[in-house]
Amino acid sequence: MTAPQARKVIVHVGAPKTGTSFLQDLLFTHREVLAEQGILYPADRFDAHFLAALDLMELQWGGLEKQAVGAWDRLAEQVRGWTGTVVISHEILATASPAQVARAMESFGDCEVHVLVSARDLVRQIPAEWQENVKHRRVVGYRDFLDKITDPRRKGSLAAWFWGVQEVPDILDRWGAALPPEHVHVLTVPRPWAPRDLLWRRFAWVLGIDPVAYDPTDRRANPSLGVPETALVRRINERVNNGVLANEDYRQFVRELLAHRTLSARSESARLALPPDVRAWASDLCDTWVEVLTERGYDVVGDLDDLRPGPPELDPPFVDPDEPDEQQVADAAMESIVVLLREAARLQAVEHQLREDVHAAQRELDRSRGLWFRVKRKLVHLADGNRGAALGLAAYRRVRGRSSRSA
Amino acid sequence: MSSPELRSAAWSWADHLRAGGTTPWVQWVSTAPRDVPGLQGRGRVPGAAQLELVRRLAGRLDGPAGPDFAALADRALSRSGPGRGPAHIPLSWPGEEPTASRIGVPPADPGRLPADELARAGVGLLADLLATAPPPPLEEGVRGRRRTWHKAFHLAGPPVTAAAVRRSLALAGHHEGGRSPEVVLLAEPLDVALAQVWSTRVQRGVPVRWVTFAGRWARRDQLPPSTDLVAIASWWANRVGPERVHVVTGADLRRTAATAASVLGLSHVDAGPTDPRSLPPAAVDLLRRLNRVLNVRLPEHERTPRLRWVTSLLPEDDAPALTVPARVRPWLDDRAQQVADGLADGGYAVHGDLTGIAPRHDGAPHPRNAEVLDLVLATVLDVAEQLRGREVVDR
Repeated sequence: MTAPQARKVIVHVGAPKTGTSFLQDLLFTHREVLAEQGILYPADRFDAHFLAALDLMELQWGGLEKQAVGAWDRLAEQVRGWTGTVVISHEILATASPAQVARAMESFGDCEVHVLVSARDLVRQIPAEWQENVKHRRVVGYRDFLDKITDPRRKGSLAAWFWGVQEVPDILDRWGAALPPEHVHVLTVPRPWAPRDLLWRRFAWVLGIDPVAYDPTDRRANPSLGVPETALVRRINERVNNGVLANEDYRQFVRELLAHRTLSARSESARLALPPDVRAWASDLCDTWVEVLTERGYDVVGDLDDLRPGPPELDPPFVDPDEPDEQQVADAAMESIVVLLREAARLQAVEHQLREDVHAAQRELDRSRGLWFRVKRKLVHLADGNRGAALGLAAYRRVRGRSSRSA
Repeated sequence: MSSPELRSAAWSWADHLRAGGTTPWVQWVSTAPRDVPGLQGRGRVPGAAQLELVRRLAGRLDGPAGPDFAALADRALSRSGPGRGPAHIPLSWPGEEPTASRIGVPPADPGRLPADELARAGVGLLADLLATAPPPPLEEGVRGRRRTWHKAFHLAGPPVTAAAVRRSLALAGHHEGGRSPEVVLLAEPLDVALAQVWSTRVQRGVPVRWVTFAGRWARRDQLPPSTDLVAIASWWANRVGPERVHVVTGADLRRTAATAASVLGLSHVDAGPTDPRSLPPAAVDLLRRLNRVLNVRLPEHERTPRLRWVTSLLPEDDAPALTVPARVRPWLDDRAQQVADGLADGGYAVHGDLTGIAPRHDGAPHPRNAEVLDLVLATVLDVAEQLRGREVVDR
């Protein structure tokens, strides 16, 4: 007789910009293999846990929230129904309030709950968060952004969101308050020079699986942009916000096509960094975080020293994205225009083909109808721009005794 | 909020508020017992915004608070503000420097929280009340007796004005429609017309802000279809002839309805509430905030009747209308001139003065948070009262 498997849920609550998209893609792609190992990643679509998080936190997200109605309860039902380990992962869960965390915990029933945060030092996180803001249509300049998040009063939605998703000790205070410290895991993101698969190996360790059995290469990532490229996207936002581009079009053409697939490939341009004054402040705050996390006795996967910034001389030099090299921005813009032109041409070809298909179907239909129908249709078209024809059509309809207006 | 003394004082304040107390936190904490057995072990203290919300609600009670108010308070204290904003604002200790701790949301004196944050907490509570109980059925709209003979007519224009005129004619037995109609275009100052379109869309579930909404049309250099009277007039003139197209301008809904009826040679009755309703900016903004939550809480078939019901509870008053943000004004002035010129050149019968289409620019540029909060508090109490005993859904 084998012992029953422990029923456990691991809730990975962020933080954003710590490789979460990469890890979620691995989990989603390998969910069937994982299930064979007793680990459930309950997602029928890649963004299933994102929708559940929107539901839990009653968050509006450009119209996507309507697809999220009831998503958390459905997810929790799968958690309760699984014998083994369940993994939930989305970085916006980091902002959940104590009341929302309580609702989540209650929804898991009698499962053993573990909370996992992947964390990276603020010197790398702050520029990455500004860039993420820009890729989500924000037009706030870099200095403005830094001023807002370094203001200790944390006024406004931007600062509230930034600290809600990035302040690791506070996130764990909200998510881990009711858990024993050994059920709270802090996974530190390896330094840039560490082996590329180390993040996955650390994550797999928390899950209790053999990392080698899953191929972590060439997975979906959230690639970063350089200074001129981010400046360009911010300027594009200024022109396309306020009704020029709908959210779904922005996602397709600006974020995916331009930012992720085109501009992120320009790896020669300057990388985003912190100005020296903010760097010193962030470094000091990281030291405080490490002290607090050490005191709390959480399970650390990696090394808390990874949360301290490396030596400043290893940082990329600070290049101000509010005053970028205009030649570099122009180069990035030219490349963007070419990519968009190619996309427009591709879509036009698709449209032509569809028109052809519709006309062919129309011709086929006409052949099966009589001459009188074709005459009537011509009259209806004529009536759109000719008052005499419109009156004639109205008279015909009165005689015929129908109220429909068009063929 | 780790100090046991603070926790004890905070929970005793919460109990005071649940019982209908209205003492502000700074006053309470200066005299509150610091070490009450049982209070320190009650767990995390609710957020400052939630506690202050309950205090403000208690302040609006007509009589003493009963168990129903305590239940409402418990509901408010056990949830957080929806959507974006601070996850949890801790209570401040008197004399404590709000930014002393470098970790977590800075503590706050609840009495000094911005109205916007309290409205956020209140709208979350309102959405909770609505989600857990089906709304009472709405009364069917009154339909006037349909006359045997009826004149064919068609009304067009900003949605609230058109609905009011349509209803005042319907109550007198005149229903819109028919072949080859007489067409009446109802003109309003263009900022009023734009605000009516915003109000209507919000009443139908859209969560867009007024400033964003107005800015979008300016950026597109387009008017919403129901306010583009030149395009509407031209379309109808091609079908029924320009001599059957009338433009009516009026200073208020009642006079507009009277003029429209007179143009058509019909009687009319002063109309009551219409659908969409003529709501003050704060009421529309309350609905906008509510839409943000209901859109993620309920499927459309459950959302729509609740939204209609809450809308029916909101007061219509003569609050000043909205005007467009300053950066949009020149654009709207130009478009108003184009509309007036287009209608004058079209050869239509104008009843009134086309200069009345020019924006008034005399309202607020956006709804005021304090007014929204005031309305949120009133609506929460109203909804809680009306839904008492109807809670059947466990959400």
